[in-house]
Amino acid sequence: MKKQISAVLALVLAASLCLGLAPTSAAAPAIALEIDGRAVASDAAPVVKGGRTLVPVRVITETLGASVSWNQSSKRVTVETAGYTVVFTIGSKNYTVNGASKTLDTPPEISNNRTLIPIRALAESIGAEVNYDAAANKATVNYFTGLKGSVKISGSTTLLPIMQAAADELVKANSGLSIAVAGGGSGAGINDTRDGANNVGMSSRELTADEKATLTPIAVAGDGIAIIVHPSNPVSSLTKEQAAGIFSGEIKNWRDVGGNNAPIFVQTRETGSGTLSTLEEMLLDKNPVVGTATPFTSSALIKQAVAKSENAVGFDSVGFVDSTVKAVALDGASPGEQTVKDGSYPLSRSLYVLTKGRAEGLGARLIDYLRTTGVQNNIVKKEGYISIY
Amino acid sequence: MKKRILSAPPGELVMKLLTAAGVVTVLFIFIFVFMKAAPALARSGFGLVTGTGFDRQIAEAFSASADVPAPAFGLWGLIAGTALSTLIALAAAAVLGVGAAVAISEFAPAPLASVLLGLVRLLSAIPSVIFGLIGVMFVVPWVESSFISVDMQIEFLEFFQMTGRNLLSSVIVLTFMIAPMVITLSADAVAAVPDSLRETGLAFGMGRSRIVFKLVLPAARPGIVAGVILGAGRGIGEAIAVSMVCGGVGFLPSLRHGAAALFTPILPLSAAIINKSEAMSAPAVESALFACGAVLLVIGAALSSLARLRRRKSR
Repeated sequence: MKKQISAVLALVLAASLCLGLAPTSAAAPAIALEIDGRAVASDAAPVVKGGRTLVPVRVITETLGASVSWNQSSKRVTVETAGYTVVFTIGSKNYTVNGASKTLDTPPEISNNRTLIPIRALAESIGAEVNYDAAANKATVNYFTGLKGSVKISGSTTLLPIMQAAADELVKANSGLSIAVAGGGSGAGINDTRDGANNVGMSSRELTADEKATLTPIAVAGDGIAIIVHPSNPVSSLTKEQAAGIFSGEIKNWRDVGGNNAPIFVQTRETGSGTLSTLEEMLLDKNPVVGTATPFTSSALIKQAVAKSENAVGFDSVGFVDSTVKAVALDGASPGEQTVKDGSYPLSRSLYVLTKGRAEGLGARLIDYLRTTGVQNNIVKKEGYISIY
Repeated sequence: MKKRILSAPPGELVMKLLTAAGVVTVLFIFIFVFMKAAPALARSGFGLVTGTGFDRQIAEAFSASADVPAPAFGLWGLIAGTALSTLIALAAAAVLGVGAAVAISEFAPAPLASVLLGLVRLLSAIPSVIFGLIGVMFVVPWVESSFISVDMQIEFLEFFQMTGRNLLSSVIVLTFMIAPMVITLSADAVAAVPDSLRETGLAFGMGRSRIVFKLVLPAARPGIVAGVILGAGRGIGEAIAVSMVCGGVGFLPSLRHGAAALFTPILPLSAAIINKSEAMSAPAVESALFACGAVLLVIGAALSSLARLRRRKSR
């Protein structure tokens, strides 16, 4: 190993000398970390100890879609991906991967309030490919690149846009990868996963205890629907029953819910909208929105219609609501990122991906990808959903 | 036969091939649309043109699982919406158009006439989405504030939402889209009437307006009718602008409501194809939208045959 490294070093040196590009500064820079071709910025620099590179655990897990938990009393760091649970103990050379014991050369440590973990051990335990380029002083991890094979996904149409966008990104970055994403609804997704007809299922509802016996759900996004009215509307809170009455057409006048004597103009989305199906499911017991409601073809248009009409009421994903409209509180909880995450807002839920047993292979990798901060910020939030972080 | 094609000049051969390609394309469109529409046509039968409740049927067809047979579709509300909005707009555009054409070609001084005609031609070149935007920004609020009161809104809420998005707004927007077409074609037709006819009228001592209404307009009639029929085609096929102001629900304007029927939200066929396309992932919905397309195709074909027939008669 050492021989190889020095051979490479010699080669690189020779090459750069030949080209006249020898580095001018001899001072060793900090180790650079690159994950899937992208440099990872870190507030705590990676360090080299005993020939091993230690990196801040939070930084790499965020990029790899893993979650980290820390147990103060046992000094244990648990890194969890869809497919693997890796447990390190600070200062100890022993660690476990899915329960199996393994040994490290260099124990993990805490420095400047950052937990530093040997990158090779961690990355290899979760199935990533690690390379260390001594010449460039750079560690590279390939986790979402170089993937080969095919994945089948089906289920909830609510989750479909997120899944499709993430799958498109992965396929673009991996020439050997094909991902087939189909809808069909949560029920179909759950059945397909149970019957082995897909690798990953999508569900917008909680699994029953029975289903949980064979299937593993992992939350990848939060979803909340805000009821919106014109900013000048005196009504700023409703009970869930009142909201259901309004959208089913039983309550027709704002006076009946504490507002002015004015007609309630229900604005809705065209058939095919995931937000509309979600509203009908969570608020109306799967009954349709009143037939007189004016339908709009997009989230932006319904918001604009409500912003322009004093007597209108509409609905939109919590992530899309802005100050042009007023979001009313339901059962005392106002819609927002926090109330959706903790579930106190009535029209909120988590969106899950499922696998039969513990996720493995490409399916697990795809789930990890969905949980990366990149996907959460650039896809989940942009589609109007709530990030899991 | 072979010899003739070969001996024809190359330009002529190209023209023949292009013509053939055009015919084949039209045939292909008909076959494709009717093939796609076949499941909905078969399921709905004659009820397709007499039944109502399209919005609910689309919602049902979209949310139904694959093994449940899709509902039958009824397009009567949509057909009525299309016909009403187009016919009223056409009547308004014809009066407006012929009047403007006469004013431009017969009464306006030549320099002013050419400026006006240029402006009208410009108007007919404006993309329809612009008409839609102007409709949403000006026509819809104007209709709502000028004709509709809160009391009316409360009274009619059990039937429909009475807002600025309705039949009347669709008619207004359509009128302004159709009128330029009627004006330009009518103005051309009026200008093409030979001066000898007018001179004859003068010789008989007829006044200027009598000449226009008794001699010039009858002589220009084929051109005016062609303009109106073309306008009808544009009105029926117009989707974007109308979908922005029509209200988007396929209600049937009812005479029971009197003049308030003008404020009924409608959903013309072409707007339905645009608005409901989000649900097209369901095969039953796709077929139903192609059925809308098939009805539009048949109406369009009928209109153009009618135009040909009228022209043959007038010869």
